[in-house]
Amino acid sequence: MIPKQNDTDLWASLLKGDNDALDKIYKAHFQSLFQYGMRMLHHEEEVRDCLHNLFVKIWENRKSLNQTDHIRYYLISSLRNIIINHRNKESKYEKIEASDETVFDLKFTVESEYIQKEEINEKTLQLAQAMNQLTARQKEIIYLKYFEELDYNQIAEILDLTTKGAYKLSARALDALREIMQVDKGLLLLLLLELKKFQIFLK
Amino acid sequence: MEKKDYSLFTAADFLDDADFLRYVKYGYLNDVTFWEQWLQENPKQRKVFELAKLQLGLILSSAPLIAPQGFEGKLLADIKQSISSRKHALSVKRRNYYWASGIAASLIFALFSAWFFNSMITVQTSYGETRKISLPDGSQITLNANSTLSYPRAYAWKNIRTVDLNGEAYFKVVHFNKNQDNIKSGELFEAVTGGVEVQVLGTEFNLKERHGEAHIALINGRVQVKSKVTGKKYLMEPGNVIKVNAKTGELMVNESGSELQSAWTDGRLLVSQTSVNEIITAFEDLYGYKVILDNPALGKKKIDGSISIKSEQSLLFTLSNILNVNIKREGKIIRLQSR
Repeated sequence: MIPKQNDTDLWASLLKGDNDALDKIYKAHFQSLFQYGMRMLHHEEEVRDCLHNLFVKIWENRKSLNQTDHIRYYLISSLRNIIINHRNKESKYEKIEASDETVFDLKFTVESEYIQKEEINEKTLQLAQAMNQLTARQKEIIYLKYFEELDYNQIAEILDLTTKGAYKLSARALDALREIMQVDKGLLLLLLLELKKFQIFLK
Repeated sequence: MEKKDYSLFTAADFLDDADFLRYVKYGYLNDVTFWEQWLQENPKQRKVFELAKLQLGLILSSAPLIAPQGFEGKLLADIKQSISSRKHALSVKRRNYYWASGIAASLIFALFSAWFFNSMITVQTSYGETRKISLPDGSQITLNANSTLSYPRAYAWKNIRTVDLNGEAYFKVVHFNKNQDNIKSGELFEAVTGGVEVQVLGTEFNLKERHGEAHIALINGRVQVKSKVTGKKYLMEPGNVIKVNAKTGELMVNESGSELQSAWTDGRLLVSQTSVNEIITAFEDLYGYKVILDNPALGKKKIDGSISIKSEQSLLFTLSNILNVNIKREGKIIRLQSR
């Protein structure tokens, strides 16, 4: 993870036209941007075009860009706009937002390095399944919060929501998880009930 | 790590906690140590802790999407290439644009100046039509029917204000001269016909040239008339009427009668001992008809009076009454038949 104090200087260099800074920034954030792009667009060629567009645009407009102390956030935000425009161009008849009509490629599985084998049971499997039912928007929020570690304000900015809205959505997503996880009595029974509730909620 | 009371945390609270996230994600030694110790101190929270950890584990379970081999490197190369080629194209484009627009601008300006300084504005009246023209200096010209007036587009910039006339016009020229004893060329106004050049300072006069004869009637001010053929000049006094033969340059001065000449501007033809033939000629000039008298002797008859020429009909009507004739029109030919 890039320590934030370097971001300010690095970005400032880029705005001054330092080629080296462009290289460094590209290399430091490529993986993350590629991931995010793929999860939004699903096709490598499209991601390639958008990333190409992103960096060329940044370089060409560097004299008029704002300062930032958080390059990752800046890049993801800009990339998202480029992706939306790209999507709109591709489908001339409807404007598609990164909302419920699209797919955010985030697949949850029990086969996770973070989960001990002993912890895997029916419950966890069902939970994973339930999580995969979340909407594209909810998944994107989860991705931005847990994978990119952005805070709610930043997520709200990116998704063009009021902060309250971002909290609401994520809280809703978390609520859903919480509901499933909060088991008081008879594990199996309640779990089934919770899952049902969860599925109804999702619809 | 800031002091938070994790002992009251729910699973959801843990999921919202950045430090907890860092611990699960990266497993840094100091984080691991911290949490192990905290768990020992807060055994009641273990279940919640583990639950949150499991949830997070599921959240983070999504496999990373790795770019294929060489993708990253090639894309960077493409980006750099685009930047340099676009920069070049842009600067070439910009350079060409400035160069082209510079040339284009000066070319356009040159053409415009040439056009502006060389072209003439022409006003033409048809039969029966009179028009008022305002010149850039404020001078007013009333153009009679069947006449043409031309003046340079760059009139205001010319040394001498000049207009060309074919036919008849009444001039009201703006006076620029400050000192009568010292007349500068820029203060002069000139009206040119086929046969004469009329130079004025600021005045009202009537100028007509038809059938090779120029008639100049001075209403007020001072006028110098010069024959283009002989170069002879004549200085006119108000009220004077001069007739100049365009071909011979022969001058004939009539001390009075200028108001007769300019009456047409009021829609009247003022005649004083003017022959019918002359009137008919004037009518023909203004309305484009051919008038035939079945009794030619009538043509020599002299008439005094004021004839309305506001329309063709009014003139013919008046004539027919004066001469006691009938009017027969055959297209552009009018026959005046004695009753």
